[in-house]
Amino acid sequence: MKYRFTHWENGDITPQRTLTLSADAAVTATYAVMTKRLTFASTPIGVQAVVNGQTITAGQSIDLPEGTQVTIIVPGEVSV
Amino acid sequence: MAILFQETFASGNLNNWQHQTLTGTPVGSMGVVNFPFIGVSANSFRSIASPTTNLTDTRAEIGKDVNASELYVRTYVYIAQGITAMAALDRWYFIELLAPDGSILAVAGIRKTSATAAPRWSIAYRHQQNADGTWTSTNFQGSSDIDPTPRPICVELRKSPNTYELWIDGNLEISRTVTPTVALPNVVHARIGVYKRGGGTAPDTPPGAYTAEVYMDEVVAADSYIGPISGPVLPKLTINSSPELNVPVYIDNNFVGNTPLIAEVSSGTHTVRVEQEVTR
Repeated sequence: MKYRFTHWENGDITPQRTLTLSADAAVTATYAVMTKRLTFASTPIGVQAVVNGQTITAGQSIDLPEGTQVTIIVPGEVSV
Repeated sequence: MAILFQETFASGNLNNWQHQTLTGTPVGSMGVVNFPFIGVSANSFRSIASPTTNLTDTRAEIGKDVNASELYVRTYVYIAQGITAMAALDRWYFIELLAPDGSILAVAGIRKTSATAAPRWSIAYRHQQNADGTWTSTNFQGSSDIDPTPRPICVELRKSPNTYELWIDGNLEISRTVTPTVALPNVVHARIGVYKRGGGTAPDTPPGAYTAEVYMDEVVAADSYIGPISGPVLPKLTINSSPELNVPVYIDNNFVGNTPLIAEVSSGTHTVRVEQEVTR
């Protein structure tokens, strides 16, 4: 899974910061999982699909961790 | 040098200590805290005078069993609060060495002899056994006034068969040689913390105003002189990531390791950089 730096504990949002030390100190870098958005569309509209076990309807999107292998199942037949 | 025990409080608890003593009214407190005056953690000791009675013995101490005729105990002490409130004849002891019967062989700390005098480094030590089997002890003060400005102070107490020594920041502050007719017993128990004895100030008004707040770190007990940590005590920079991802860290553009890490750096300004993206 890929992670991207988001911020330091002091709110800085760049991964490099400057510290002036006269005594011991502790800092924490926070990361978030990087995601990619998968949008499902269908013709005709309104078809439901199952993406990695999660049911979504055409027109909806799902965010998945970058690098995730995706299995999408659509119905063989639909009634309109 | 044979080390009998040492403690940096990095574990975050006091499980390594065999004895914990909290006495007094109100009772004091102690516990490992993130107070990085030497390392990342230190142990906090708070001893509070009674709001209703004369200050006698209030203790916040931890201890370990030993068995030594020759013993050195060193700790770094950071006195955060209370020195300026000391009254004449008040004593704060930071290191205690006990005999097999539980009585005190030697204590080291600070003592104030008059209302106007600055507290000074002091020891009290057992030196002669009386005919009835009890022992006579004596106080002795060093020559250095204590500056109330908080700072890390290296305090080391030695008890040998016939010598007591107090070392402050690597300097011999007090040395007393004794000639007991009956040999002094071994030290079987060593304590650090705050043992507050007093004569002058009571009651504590308002309660809590006369609080001794002391931090300790880098405790070592050994069979020979230990001394201060060699070289300058460099600030330690702790770098974590959340979640913990073993992120590569660069200080001043030099790779220093992966999180979580503790790096010793010189005082002054430094750049710290972490990788922007990591795959885990």
